[in-house]
Amino acid sequence: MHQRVLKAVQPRFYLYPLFSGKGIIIRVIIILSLVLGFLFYIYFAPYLNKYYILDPIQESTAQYFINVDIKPAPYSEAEAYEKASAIIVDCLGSGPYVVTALTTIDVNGKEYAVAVALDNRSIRFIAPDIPSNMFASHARSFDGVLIRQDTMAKTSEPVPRTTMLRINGYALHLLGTHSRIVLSYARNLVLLYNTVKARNILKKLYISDILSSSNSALEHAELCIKKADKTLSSIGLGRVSFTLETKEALYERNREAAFGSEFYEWMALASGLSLAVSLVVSAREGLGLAAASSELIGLLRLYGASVYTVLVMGLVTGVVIAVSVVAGLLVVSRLVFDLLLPVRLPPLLYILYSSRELLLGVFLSIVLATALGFVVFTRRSSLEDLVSSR
Amino acid sequence: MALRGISIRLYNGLYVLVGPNGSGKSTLLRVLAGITRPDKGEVAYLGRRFWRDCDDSCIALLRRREIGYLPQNLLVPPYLRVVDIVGMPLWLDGVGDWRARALEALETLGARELADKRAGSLSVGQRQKAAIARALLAGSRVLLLDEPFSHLDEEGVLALVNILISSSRNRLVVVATPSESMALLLKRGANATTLCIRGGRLTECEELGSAYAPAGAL
Repeated sequence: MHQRVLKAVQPRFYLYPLFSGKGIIIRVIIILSLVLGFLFYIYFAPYLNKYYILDPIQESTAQYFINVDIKPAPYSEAEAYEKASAIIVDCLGSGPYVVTALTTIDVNGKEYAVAVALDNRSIRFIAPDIPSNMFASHARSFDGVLIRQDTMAKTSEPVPRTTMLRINGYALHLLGTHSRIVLSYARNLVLLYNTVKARNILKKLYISDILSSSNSALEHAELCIKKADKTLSSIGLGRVSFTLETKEALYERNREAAFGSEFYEWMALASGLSLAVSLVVSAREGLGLAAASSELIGLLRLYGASVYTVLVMGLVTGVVIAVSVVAGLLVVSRLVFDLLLPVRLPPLLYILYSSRELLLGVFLSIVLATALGFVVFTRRSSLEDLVSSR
Repeated sequence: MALRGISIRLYNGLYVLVGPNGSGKSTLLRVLAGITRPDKGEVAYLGRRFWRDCDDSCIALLRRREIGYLPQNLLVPPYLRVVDIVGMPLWLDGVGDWRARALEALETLGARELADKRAGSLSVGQRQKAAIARALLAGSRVLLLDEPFSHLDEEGVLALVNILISSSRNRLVVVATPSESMALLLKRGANATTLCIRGGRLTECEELGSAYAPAGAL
């Protein structure tokens, strides 16, 4: 008989608590969104590193990462760097390399440390702030593209829409869109510049890294560095050495940095707190919602609807709250990221997929705790209680 | 309020259960409606003993089909339409024309115009009418009404009295009221049997002229 009654109850009855307890629902959504949004900010931080550093490394076509170390002789620093860079760039030619160089740049009167890259290969690796398809079109038509920050330090300077960048007398336009964060907060920027001018700039900069995509290219790059070393040492300008790192080693090193034990502790703390808060708040408010719907619950029970009907009411209400809270926490966390740590977040699907375990846990805990609140209310309140108080 | 030593057999007709607040009227009605289970003793309906021959779901089925009950708390959810509230017992029971019959029940109380309104927008008296209409619809054999006149206007009281008189011809109707004047009115005007209750016991109805005679069970 319960089954029969259960089937007969229309969906709008299940949705009844959404109307009778709308004040409570709004309150619980706001509270949970704010608290969970902040906790999500802590939880998701390592995934930013994953998106901006680890994933690009993994997707990169470069297999080797060569760190070039130029040790100039005393009093011949500039000359040594320039000479070494020129030899290496000339030697590399137009092979499958991404060559980066460190320098400082002047952005509207402020100095930044930057790197310049010579190729748009592995672009997500060096330009994670810009979607690669967008980058490709810009890279063809633009003087230069501003890329990413390695470390961030908040500054209060206003963000210019378009920025003129000067490197060694060459004027470069920086992309306005998507570079806001970099302009405002970057310490180390990477600039990609793939025109003839770039070569000229690069020769005047100091090569720091070479990214190579194949074994033969790697050997060639090594020869070029050795050639530079030989030349420099023969004229007494200094030495050039290098360290080699495979893509896998680079990935592992960055993975350790992004997801080290300390990060895991924070993530675990954020997850645990999120679930605890979801459970406690939802169960408590579930009781309130059930109380707000007590007349309907009493009526349904008077005519034989079982406790399962009330459970379904709780589940439906919980689902609506949980969906709203998950949406709310994403909005809040985006605001937190924007306000506290202005970082452009990855696309929504990436966020949802990366944090699916936490979001699913939060979702389920809200749904189950809300339903539990309804069941507890029904168990606590006998039919006698429900029909008695006027 | 605990009930003590009540042994009574009720047949078709109109009964008025009268007593002061806290005397046990509502408790007795809840026992008769199969909501409150007595610690001792039994309630039997047409030979079936509640909770022995007829479990909770069986009793709920009776409340949907045969025993109309107006509770003290009206159970009129504010965000539902009146017609849905009135028709709920039939609707939950899978009766196809529940809506038409709900409208009829409202019509008998002169409250047809309330049908499509949300209960939350009604006055207490109108909500009471909706709850009474629901009890009328479910109670094809028995009507148990807990203080049904309390919020009705004069016109509503008269309409309800007429309904109770006509209903009691082929049904058992028990009306609980704290008002002795209302009990007297029903006794004189509708030939109702008065049952006086005090301290959880049925007593002699001295002022009203008692018709209470302890007998068997419901």
